[in-house]
Amino acid sequence: MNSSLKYIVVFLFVITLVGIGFSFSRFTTTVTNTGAENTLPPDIEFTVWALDSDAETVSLEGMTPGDSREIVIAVKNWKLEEGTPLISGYNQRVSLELETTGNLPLTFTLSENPAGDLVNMNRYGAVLYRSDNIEFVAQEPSTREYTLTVAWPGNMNAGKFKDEIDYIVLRLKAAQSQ
Amino acid sequence: MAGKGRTSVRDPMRTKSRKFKTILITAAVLATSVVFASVVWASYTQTTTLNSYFATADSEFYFTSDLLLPDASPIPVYAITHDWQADSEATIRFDLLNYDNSLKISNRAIHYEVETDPAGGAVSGTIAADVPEGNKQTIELDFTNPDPQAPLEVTVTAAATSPYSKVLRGKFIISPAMTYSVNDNEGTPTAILTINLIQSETADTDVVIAWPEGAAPDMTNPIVKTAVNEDSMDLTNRSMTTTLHTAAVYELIFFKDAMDNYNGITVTK
Repeated sequence: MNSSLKYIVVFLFVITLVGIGFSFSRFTTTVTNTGAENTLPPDIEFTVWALDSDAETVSLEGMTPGDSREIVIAVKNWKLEEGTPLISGYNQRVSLELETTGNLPLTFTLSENPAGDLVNMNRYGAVLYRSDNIEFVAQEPSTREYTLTVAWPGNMNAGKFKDEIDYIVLRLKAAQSQ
Repeated sequence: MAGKGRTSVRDPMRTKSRKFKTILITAAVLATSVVFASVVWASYTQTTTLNSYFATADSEFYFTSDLLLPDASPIPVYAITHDWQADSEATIRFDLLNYDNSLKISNRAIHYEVETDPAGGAVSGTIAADVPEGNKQTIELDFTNPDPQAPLEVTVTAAATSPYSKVLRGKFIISPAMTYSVNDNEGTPTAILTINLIQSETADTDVVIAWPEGAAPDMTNPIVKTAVNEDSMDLTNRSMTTTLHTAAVYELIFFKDAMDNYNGITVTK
């Protein structure tokens, strides 16, 4: 075998092994909520936790300056499966992510119920907000409830906004933590 | 010699093969490390879309007036007259509406503030949205004129502050219904009274002319003749009441007894 050909084979071998390693490194899935009760999470052990929120029932239509709407979101790391609680076996970091087109001058605040403690909604660029992490401990069933307040400041009342439409997507991002 | 020659000569193929083996083993060890490291870093992530929303602004907002126009339009100018002698306060009156037409009616209460330049008569309020066919509020602003002989120019700004902002404007020029003046007559035998009547809703108006001692009006002047005919000439008390047309200018000459400046003539409606 030509020596340079051998080097190429070795190089490809290494690249392949490394590629395989990284392809195993993350398991990612996207679930779309279709009701107040969350859809069943994918059949992997990590996603034992479930979501429950009234996100579907709140309307953000017909808003004017000075208006605010509240969306209650509950996050838990357990669910009942045939009457038996099934608890996530992993520590998790969960954050609420909100993406907007920015057409309306809306502000977003997140507070934890019932105490009302504010959770930071960090802004990334003009259209993306992500909350501070909410921590869940493995095998410890926990339910956390939050209120997301969508507000239109009364002083942002220029007439140009009256025909505007904004599109907002709410996501929960969870990641296994150590 | 032969043995020495065997040890000093290296087989190039064998050397290359050894090199390749070394590289291969090193690469395998490296790759294995990387694979294990990746597995150690492995963790699960999940993204769940809770919901998506269309956030819409309530577009049913109409803030209009019967006299004022939006600030994007040329400012409308209205000329009105006022008899400052009869009433020391002039009133500007207009409507603020919460609709544009019978189909475009605001569905929320509108808060507004009205300001004027010169200052005076600022008001604020709310047009309720509880009238299905549209609601309105009549605004009345009162002004006094520091110089009743001169026109008063008033700029009115009505601003909606909630739910949306919108500014309406209008300019009102309040002219006195009647002005009069006596010329500077020092050194002349006559004094000339000029009466200027602005157009109004009536074609004629009665005025009272009074003058102090030291002069007498021109009895051939139609103004005086009218007063005589109406039996309203009082030469003893130096006054007469006569009827004048509006939107007209009149002059009346007074013959003076002396050459010094003669003034003190008054004209009232």
